[in-house]
Amino acid sequence: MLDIYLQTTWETFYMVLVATGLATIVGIPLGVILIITEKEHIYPNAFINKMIGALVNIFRSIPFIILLVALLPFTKLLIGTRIGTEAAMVPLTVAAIPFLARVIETALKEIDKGIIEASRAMGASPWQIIRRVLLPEALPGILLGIIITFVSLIGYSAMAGAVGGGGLGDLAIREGYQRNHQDVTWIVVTILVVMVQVFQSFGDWTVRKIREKRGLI
Amino acid sequence: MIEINNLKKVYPGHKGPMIALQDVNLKIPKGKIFGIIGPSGAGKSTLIRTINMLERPTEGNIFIEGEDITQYNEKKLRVLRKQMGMIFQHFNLLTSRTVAENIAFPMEIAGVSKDNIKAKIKELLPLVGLEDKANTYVSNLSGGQKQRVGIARALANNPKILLCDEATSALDPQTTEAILRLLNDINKRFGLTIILITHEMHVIKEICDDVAFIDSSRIIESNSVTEVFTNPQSSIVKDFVHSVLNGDKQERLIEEGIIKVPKRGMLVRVSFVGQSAGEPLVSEVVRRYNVDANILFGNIDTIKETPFGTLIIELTGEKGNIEKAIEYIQSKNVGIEVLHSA
Ligand SMILES: Nc1ncnc2c1ncn2[C@@H]1O[C@H](COP(=O)(O)OP(=O)(O)O)[C@@H](O)[C@H]1O
Ligand SMILES: [Mg+2]
Repeated sequence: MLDIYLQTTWETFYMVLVATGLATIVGIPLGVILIITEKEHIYPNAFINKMIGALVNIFRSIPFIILLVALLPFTKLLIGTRIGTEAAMVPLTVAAIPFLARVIETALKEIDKGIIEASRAMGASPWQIIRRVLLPEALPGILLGIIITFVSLIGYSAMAGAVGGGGLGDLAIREGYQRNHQDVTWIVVTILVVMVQVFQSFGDWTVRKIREKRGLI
Repeated sequence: MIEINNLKKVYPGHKGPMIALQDVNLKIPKGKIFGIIGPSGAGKSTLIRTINMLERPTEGNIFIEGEDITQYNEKKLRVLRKQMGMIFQHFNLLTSRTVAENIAFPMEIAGVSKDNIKAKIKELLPLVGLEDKANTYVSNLSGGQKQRVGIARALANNPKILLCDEATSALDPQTTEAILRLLNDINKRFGLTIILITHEMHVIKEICDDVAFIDSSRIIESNSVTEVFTNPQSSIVKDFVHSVLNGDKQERLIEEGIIKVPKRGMLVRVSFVGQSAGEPLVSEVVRRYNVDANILFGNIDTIKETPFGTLIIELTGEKGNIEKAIEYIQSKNVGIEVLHSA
């Protein structure tokens, strides 16, 4: 029995980790584009800004459970199957991308305009400003955003379990709910709570260390 | 040399267009410290930001060594900006980097090799007095130390021009003194042109060679600092000069009757630049024009390193003679202002 908990915990961790990672790869550029295309930033472009902003908003407003079902054909096309851990990563990633894009946009917005101005005055190109100024300056906020996404996806992954996505959610539905083993449900919930606590605390600690090192707190 | 011709900048404000600069014409000589002073909102920051084209002017041209930089595209401008340093009121340092890494930043941008960056940092840290702070994150520094990092960073690529936008306005008086001395030092040592924006006249008096006064988007007076102090033209400039020379104190002394307003003759303020140019002139006038001169108040100050004196003198004698005496003093390039005439 222990085996099944270990295995499903691993599955949950694995799918959330991969989904967060993929979403970060896409979300950071989106967040950067959202901020630099703003008026008076380093690459103003109202059209791109409005278009990506609208796209992000549309995806963010779709409830996850609907996204989960709506994406099934796409998942099948991409992964070859609709069930299992790999298949669950698809809706998780798609849900996380717009969320992360906004979180990263917010983190980048915190940066003092004067720093960007100084970089421009030194002859930095937009790309140099992104890589050497925006991202390093916003690093604590970006990390916090990634951790929040990771933790939120742990909850979402349980929902993905409802459509056979594997992991702890799947276990809770199959064993706990359908076979009415309430103890399984409780253990799953406990594991989820502990996971959330551990990762959130680890994230907070890391971010605090960076801020301390930089003399910001 | 920097030459600004008929510069105009209009911002498209939400309450209609807003003219930030108009009819701006300036010649900024090479190797000098050029001050631009004016009240808040006058257009100072806008003006200095056009000199490295962070702000594109609406009309007019800016020539640097004969090249019209208003015609440059972004790529050429980036090359130009690498040859200019800029420091700011709020320092604008990277909090994600240490002192040394902040100084390295403009060199990284310019593609300088790691070894050369290291060598340059080693050279700049003692220049700005931060040898022991190389590995400190900038948030842990005081305001004065932050500005020193700003200055070192601005000098990293050996610029020919240094732009300072209210560089001492966030600092206390002592730190301001120290930073001004450092800027003066750098100007002398490297012969680089410094353009300095401020709203404080004592900054101009302390280190500038030339000064332009800006008010409501226009340059109202531009001259050498000594000339402005001895011979201010417009009332705004007079007020600025007044504010920094204890003019208020002198006027209060007169008002309170400590300096007596003469019953006959005239009360004049004579201001002169250079060593002891004033007093021989007074005795000469006494001899030449048969007037009596009674020195009521004297004050010696410095403009940059040049002594600058003010005397309040009571002139008595025949009216015609006094007038001739005043004309004579004026002809000697000494400032004279009649405070009271009986
Ligand atoms: N980006 C901008 N958009 C609109 N108006 C601006 C902008 N920057 C400055 N201004 C306006 O232009 C005028 C001059 O500003 P500024 O050059 O900053 O003055 P100073 O530095 O002398 O205080 C002010 O009235 C200011 O509100
Ligand atoms: Mg300003």
